[in-house]
Amino acid sequence: MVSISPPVTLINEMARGQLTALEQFYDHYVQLVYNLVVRIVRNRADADEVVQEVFLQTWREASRYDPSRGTPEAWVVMLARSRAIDALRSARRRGERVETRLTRDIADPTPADASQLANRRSMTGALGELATAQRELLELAYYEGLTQTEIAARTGLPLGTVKTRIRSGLERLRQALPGREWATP
Amino acid sequence: MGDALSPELTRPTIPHEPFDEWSVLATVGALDEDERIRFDAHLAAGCDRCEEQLRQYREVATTLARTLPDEPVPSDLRGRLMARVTKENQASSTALPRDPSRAIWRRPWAGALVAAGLVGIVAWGIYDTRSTVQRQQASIDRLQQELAEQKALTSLVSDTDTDVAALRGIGVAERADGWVVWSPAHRRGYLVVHNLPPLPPGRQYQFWVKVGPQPMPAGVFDVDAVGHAALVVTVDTERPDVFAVTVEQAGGAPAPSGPVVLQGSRQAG
Repeated sequence: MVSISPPVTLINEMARGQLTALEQFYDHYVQLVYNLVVRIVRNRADADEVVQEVFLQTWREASRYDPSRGTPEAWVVMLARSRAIDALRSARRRGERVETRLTRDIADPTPADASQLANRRSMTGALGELATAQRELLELAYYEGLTQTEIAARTGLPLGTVKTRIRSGLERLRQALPGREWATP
Repeated sequence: MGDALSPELTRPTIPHEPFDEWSVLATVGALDEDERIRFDAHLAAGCDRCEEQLRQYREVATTLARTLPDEPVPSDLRGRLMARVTKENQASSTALPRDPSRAIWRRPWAGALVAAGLVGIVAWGIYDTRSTVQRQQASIDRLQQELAEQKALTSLVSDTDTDVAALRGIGVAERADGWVVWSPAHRRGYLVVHNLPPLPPGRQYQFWVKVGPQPMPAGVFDVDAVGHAALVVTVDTERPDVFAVTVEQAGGAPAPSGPVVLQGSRQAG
């Protein structure tokens, strides 16, 4: 029987140069990373390259991972988004046409186990309950790589409204996160 | 003679507004460039409050990715990744010494080499211990340098009149970026670069500040394996207009001669 190590253990093993740990880490997160990268770059060939770069980066920087700064999932998602946005901006600089799309395609949940399924349903529900205006602004920032000033210019909304809606949208999602405790900022 | 002030009282106070708001917006990448630079500098100066808030909202932002529909992952992608990693490892490990205790026992003339092998193992042990001490000393040196840089940065960002500049990658360094926080009062700046490609032996990056037409050398540096570097620089000028990084011979040049790989202009604080 093959035992699967917790992600933090895998990262520690990756830092010690164990390739099998990288394989397990990849297996654990590739679906999440691939979904995000495809959503941002919207081109499968580019997505394949970006996803490889993301996991190469986790391999090279495993020794720098600091659990006090976030979960392995948050770490790998942050790296993936950053790489994907870089690729998107690079494509835009090359003059390639990249359609801006506001997503309506909230997932049909198909994760592997019951807890993941419940978690995804909970978050999908919370995202679905966000006001459309809040969700669209979050998506323009997170998936399109637009800053708040660019979003204000794109939507015609006052900058203060953009800030408020993004913050309140994230706050609502935060409240919907199951089983997490939050420190007062 | 009056009493000396305690370190707590003499330590520069890090201003906190509007960082509470920025730490939320930063997690979805919504900060404008000048805000992002200031926020990065604020974090680099060691704000635990913002680090904690950032950590919490990063988890929230991650949920956006978790709600996306599954896309079919190419079945050969894992193999392609592992081939790249293996190739990269082979390239970087050719110089590593092998464990002397391995394989020798398989050879028929092993007995004749036992003594030499033991000497080798002892020698290797001494070498290994010395290497460990050297690594620890290097680690202490690095931490001391980081501490000195952090103190300098804290001092810089606590100024009310700091300028900032975003640096953009050019040419072969198109993916690179960076930022500079510059204190006119201290005539000192803090440079951070990301994604600069490693240079061949005999070459180094050189940082320049430009006032009018005259570029002034502001230090040479190398980048780590992921193209990152951070350094505090002191140049006798109050308000540079332009900041740039070029590729030069190791040790630097009196005037820029190599290609510019990063460049940006001052934005008033």
